[in-house]
Amino acid sequence: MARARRRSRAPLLRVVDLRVEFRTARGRVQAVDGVSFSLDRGEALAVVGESGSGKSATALSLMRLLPEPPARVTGGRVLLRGRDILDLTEEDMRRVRGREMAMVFQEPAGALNPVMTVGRQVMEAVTAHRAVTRREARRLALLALAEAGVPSPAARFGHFPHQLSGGMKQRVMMAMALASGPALLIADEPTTALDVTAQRRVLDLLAYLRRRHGLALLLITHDLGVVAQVADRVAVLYAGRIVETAPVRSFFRGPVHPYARGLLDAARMATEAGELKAVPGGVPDPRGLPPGCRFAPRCRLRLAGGSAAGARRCLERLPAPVEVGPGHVVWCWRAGVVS
Amino acid sequence: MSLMSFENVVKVYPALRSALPGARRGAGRRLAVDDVTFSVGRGESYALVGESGCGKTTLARLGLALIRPTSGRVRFAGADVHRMRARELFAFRRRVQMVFQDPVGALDPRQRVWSAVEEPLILHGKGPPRRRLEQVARLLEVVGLSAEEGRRLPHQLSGGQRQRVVIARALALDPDLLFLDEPVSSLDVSVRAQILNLLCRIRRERGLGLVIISHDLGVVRHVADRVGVMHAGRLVEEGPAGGVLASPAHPYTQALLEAVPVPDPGARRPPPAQPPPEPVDPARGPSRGCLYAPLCPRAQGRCFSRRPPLRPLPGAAGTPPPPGAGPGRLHLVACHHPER
Repeated sequence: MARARRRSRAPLLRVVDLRVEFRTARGRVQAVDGVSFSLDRGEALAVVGESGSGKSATALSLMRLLPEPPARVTGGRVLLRGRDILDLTEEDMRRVRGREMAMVFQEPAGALNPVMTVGRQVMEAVTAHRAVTRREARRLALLALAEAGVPSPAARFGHFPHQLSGGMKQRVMMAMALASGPALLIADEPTTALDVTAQRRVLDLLAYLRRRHGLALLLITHDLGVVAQVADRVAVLYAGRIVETAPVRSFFRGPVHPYARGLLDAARMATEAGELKAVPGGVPDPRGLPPGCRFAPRCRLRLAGGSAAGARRCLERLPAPVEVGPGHVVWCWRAGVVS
Repeated sequence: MSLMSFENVVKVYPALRSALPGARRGAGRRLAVDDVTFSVGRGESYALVGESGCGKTTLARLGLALIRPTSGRVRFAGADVHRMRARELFAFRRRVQMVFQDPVGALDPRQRVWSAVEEPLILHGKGPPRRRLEQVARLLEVVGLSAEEGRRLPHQLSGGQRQRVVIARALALDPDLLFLDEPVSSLDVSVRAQILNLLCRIRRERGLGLVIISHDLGVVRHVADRVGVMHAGRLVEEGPAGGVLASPAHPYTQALLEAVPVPDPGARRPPPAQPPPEPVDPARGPSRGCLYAPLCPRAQGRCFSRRPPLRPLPGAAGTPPPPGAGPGRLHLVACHHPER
């Protein structure tokens, strides 16, 4: 704690130039290609992306849970309270997981042991980091379940995962993550497998936990509706690189990167009538990326009203960051040229 | 006239004995579809909306004559689909097709796109090989796939392209009605709009009827003419898509619409002071009352004792049905206390 206070002016988490590579039968794939961001205490950052964007690989590498091989962190630093966790021994890392940062996954069913009662699983999460009596562990587990919004937790303590609804399983997983009082929660698509009404309750729960426990949140999602409801800041990931990052209000007022604008159009279709604006093409094959802007082959702006040289630049050279507002940075050659 | 109609359809699944410890014993039969009546007109797009387990996929399986109803009837062009003889059923299968949620599971990993689209034509004896190949080429063009993509295997395609293949195959026999079970929910967000635009275009060009099963109200808003909202096996609200989505009358429909996260941080709700409790799944079964009552903020005495029938919304006189429109254009709701 003393050390944490001494470093309190530094961000809770700082990721610098993270690179993750996957070795596949058909060659190497750069899943995360130089991602940098930071997260303050109590702050909520949403990392937005589609399949293949590298968002889950980023989240898993922060927890050092990437399957190695085929994955390998090939560069960068992950500083938690100033300490690079990529240098920690596995034993030290185990102490970081759960106690300092915890993770919840998309599929609660896959994260729970099907033949162990949910009560015992939460107790296990408690005793993994604290030397407490069984009775105390049970008390803390019940408390964690209640904080995760499980009604009458004592009655559900002896239930097995298959006896619970999807929403309830998500709550149990949340309770396990909270059991050791982490400062940072990493949530990888926490509502994707849920129905909308259950999703709404989980989003409310995340908002409650942030307020009550000052929890910092790294939310991995593809849904900009969820981002708008939960996050303080957004980082949009495309093919392993951040293409735009901004405070949430600034982002929703006007995303600048054409890919981010396409995502917002798609998200608005859920709540607004009108014609559907489609992003042409598909999510790219990571083996066939251009050396320049990864989005260039699908981009309308690349060819719209520009010179041939400009269009070539998009494909050939990586865009430099452009600050378009306070804390609002975009990696696009066309940013500010075409609005 | 309606193309397909569901008349008081009930489907009960028998109880399964569970080998897992602590499973509820004698949990009983599952009433998946509970007295559902609705119809889809020729060229109409009808969306069934509801959360997982509400019975919408069971309805699709009933409509495709893949399973038999416990009681009630499904008619297609006047004929009872569950009483068809083999030859009638074969003809029915040509006219009613299905697109599943997961294009990976719907395609044979060793079959090239071309061959997957040709297969239904062979099965239904559509012309000599050369005519068939012309037809396949035309179908691929309709769904926006190149001839080169037609020679690929499913794993060499993106999710959106695979869904295009499945749609091309469903269109091969020129059906009158297409069932689509969550047609875009397995696709990336940036690709969904392409597929929805494709479906709208195909429907317009071919006068194709659609039954779209989805939990995604955005999909429904853009593709459906009419919407039926299902809860716990029952149809609780039905009407023109614009009317139901803009001014829902059933508290469940309202809760569904309210739960959709709006992509606008200005519309963010304040964090709750207590952890929001996860509701306990209310028992479903031969309840005499409204099945939504245990979760409903408006529930009163008779909600628990009398089942509300699906009937025209009172006070909807301000929006008279367009001339010539059948009862299908009405906004119906099954609630004792409907409120817009």
